[in-house]
Amino acid sequence: MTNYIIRRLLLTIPTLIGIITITFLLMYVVPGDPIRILMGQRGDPATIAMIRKQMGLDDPLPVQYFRFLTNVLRGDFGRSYATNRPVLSEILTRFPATLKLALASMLVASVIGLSAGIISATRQYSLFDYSSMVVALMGVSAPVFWVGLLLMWVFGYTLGWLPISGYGNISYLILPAITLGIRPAAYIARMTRSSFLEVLRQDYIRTARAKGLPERRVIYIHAMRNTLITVVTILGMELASLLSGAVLTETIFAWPGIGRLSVDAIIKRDHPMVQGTVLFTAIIFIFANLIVDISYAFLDPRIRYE
Amino acid sequence: MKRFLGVLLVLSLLVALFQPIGMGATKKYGGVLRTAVTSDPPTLDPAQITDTTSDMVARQIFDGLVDYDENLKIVPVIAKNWSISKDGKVYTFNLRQGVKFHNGREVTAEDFVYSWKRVMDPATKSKRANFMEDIAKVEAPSKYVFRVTLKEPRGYFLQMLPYSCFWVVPKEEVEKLGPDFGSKPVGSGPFKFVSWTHDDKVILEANKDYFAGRPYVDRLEIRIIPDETVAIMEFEKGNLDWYENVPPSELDRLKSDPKWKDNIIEKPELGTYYIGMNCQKPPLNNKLVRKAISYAINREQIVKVIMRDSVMIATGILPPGIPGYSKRPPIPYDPEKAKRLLKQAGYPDGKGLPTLELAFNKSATHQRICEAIQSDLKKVGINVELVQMDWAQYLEKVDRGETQLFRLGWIADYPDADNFLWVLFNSKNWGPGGNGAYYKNPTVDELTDKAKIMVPGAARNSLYKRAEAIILDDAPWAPIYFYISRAIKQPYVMDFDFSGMGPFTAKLEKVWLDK
Repeated sequence: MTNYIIRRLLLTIPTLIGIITITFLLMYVVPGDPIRILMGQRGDPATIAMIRKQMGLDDPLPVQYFRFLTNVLRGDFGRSYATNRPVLSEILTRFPATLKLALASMLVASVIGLSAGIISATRQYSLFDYSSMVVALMGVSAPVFWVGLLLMWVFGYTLGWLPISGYGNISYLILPAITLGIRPAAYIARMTRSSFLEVLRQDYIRTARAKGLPERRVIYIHAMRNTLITVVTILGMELASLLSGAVLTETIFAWPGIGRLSVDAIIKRDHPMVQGTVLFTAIIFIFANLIVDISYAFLDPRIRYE
Repeated sequence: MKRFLGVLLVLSLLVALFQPIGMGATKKYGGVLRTAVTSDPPTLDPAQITDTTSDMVARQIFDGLVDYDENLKIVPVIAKNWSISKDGKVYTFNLRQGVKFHNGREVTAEDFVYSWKRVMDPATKSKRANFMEDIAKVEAPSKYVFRVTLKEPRGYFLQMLPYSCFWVVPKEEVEKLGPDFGSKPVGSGPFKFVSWTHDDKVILEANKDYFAGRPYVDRLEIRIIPDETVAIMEFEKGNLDWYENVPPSELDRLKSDPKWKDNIIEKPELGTYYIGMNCQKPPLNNKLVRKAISYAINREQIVKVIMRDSVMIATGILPPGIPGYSKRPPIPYDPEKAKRLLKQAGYPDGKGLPTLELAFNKSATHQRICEAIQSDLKKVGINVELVQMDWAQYLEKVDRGETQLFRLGWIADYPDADNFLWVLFNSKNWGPGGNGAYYKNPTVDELTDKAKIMVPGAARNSLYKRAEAIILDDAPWAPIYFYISRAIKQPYVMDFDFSGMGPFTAKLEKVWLDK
């Protein structure tokens, strides 16, 4: 297992270099001069030329690329063109907010998704099954901004039970977490149900029941563990996706997360910030994948990494 | 006795008459003034500011020599008074004594020399270095005298000075903090920087040693709320004290609500929304086609239906409030005249006219406006294809003159006709400099060049009037509407006002809370 983890970690190096290279090239291919954008609508050509020269943006592409790569290897992601603040500190100051929101919405998603999925599967074709799957379908289909504004209007504006927007104590977290958790909850519910139904048809479940084991034990011990592989995969990927920011939810609820930072960087062609956020997201996905893969071995003893 | 009673009666009446006024006008100190902006300010370093959000926050922390009052008149700030040499090239500012930076050191003329030279220095990478290009020399002949020598006279020089790049910064703090000065600013303004949680809020506190007297409120809280509808919900719930980005969709409702209708402040803003036409690209190099396009646009419908009367129909290039503005009737919606002009240009009913491209940057409002224009032009036989792009790509295309028709809005950097007519129409400024229509008329060039170096006044304004009339006749732009700046405030927010530059210029140190 240790060897497997080391091998996987070593493999991340070429993956990350590949990602850095592709992002770097993409930012140069996409039209739009970052300095021109910062100037506003009127850009004095002489000033643009002066700033580009000062920032080394007129150097040949390979020179800029290797300068960037060597800086990144030294842990220096550079400074944002737009704010002149260090990219890494900009990302890290927003990460706690993103992490809080991601974990809270995953909690919402797991609790709702798993319970709805299991109950639906064990009571297949019941009223609960039909209604929860219809609700799940709505949850998958409903646009995030619409759900967010609706929740905000009802619980924040009309009833005044929760803050409308902003970043603060746990009360500020509830509405954005539900908004962001609804879609993965619906997805998890549907996947849990289908995966559970599949497991429940397996021979070993029939054997367990034939042995006279109580139904509760059959469901929660024998069936559940095998279903978890699918659910853990979804959870891992959803969590990774949430950790890279949720721009719509962050925008509606004025939540200071990484999503807004990344999108703003793309709009402003803020190359160092785009590269920083992309690399950060890539690292999160790589580690989420690794953790998911490792968890398989714990969930299913048949899976062994050599 | 009678006389005594009479005097007593008169005195009582006087007391009764004046007491309520006196009591009501007693300004209260204390409290927190809360507002919101739509994006995190990119920087609070005056040398780097190019946007109104950063400007709004930073102008509470910094001061310059002069500023605008609510009527856009130049008023002294750190400069007590000033004189201008006869040739219009040398400006001598006498500074107030005892103005202090937030670190306790006194502001002197040397600080202005340092601050301005810093903007000019390429190492600072200031995006507004070009604002200093008219300056030949800055010097401090004495501790409280700051002198500026211009290369050539500039009629608008004083009008430019309230712009952020001319504010004063303390050298020792800039050198200590380096590039982080923009995140932890130290100035001499009415409020001191306290904290900044990026994408969440900026907190400033009253500078109790401010030279003009401490601000009334103790603290300013500026939240960052990207969605305007959400900010309005926060405002109506009482979580914000004033807010400037009232979306047009909410305006009718708020204006008809008795709670808010008297608390919405509106002023003509120095800005014009227009459709630019690339004068070098056929068939738009034909003035008749450009004029036909302008007459074919139903501006009233755009203003009423799409913008819900949150703006005014444009009557020319210069918006009201700019010196040199001429009151004209709105450009008429006259499809028949447009057809006649097209026929005269050799395109009867639009026959032979290629499909024109109307480019705009992605936004629901711009899209609706451009769709309305597309439909108006279709009625006179002009086929238009809409092309939408993101802002970065769009700017590049307009700069390079690769568009035919394009939409843009120009908001003045400083309240002077030069900032419209020279910047946007002088042929020296083709492309990114401002003249995206690639317009060239030697008379307009001559008039705007000449007015640039004249002293402000009637003679200068008359040149701008002539230039504007020529431009309107040449039609490199189809002006659509003039902006209106607007802010909404809670009824207890007193003495809140702003200049025609926009609510971002509100003097928050004068605001007090009657609650």
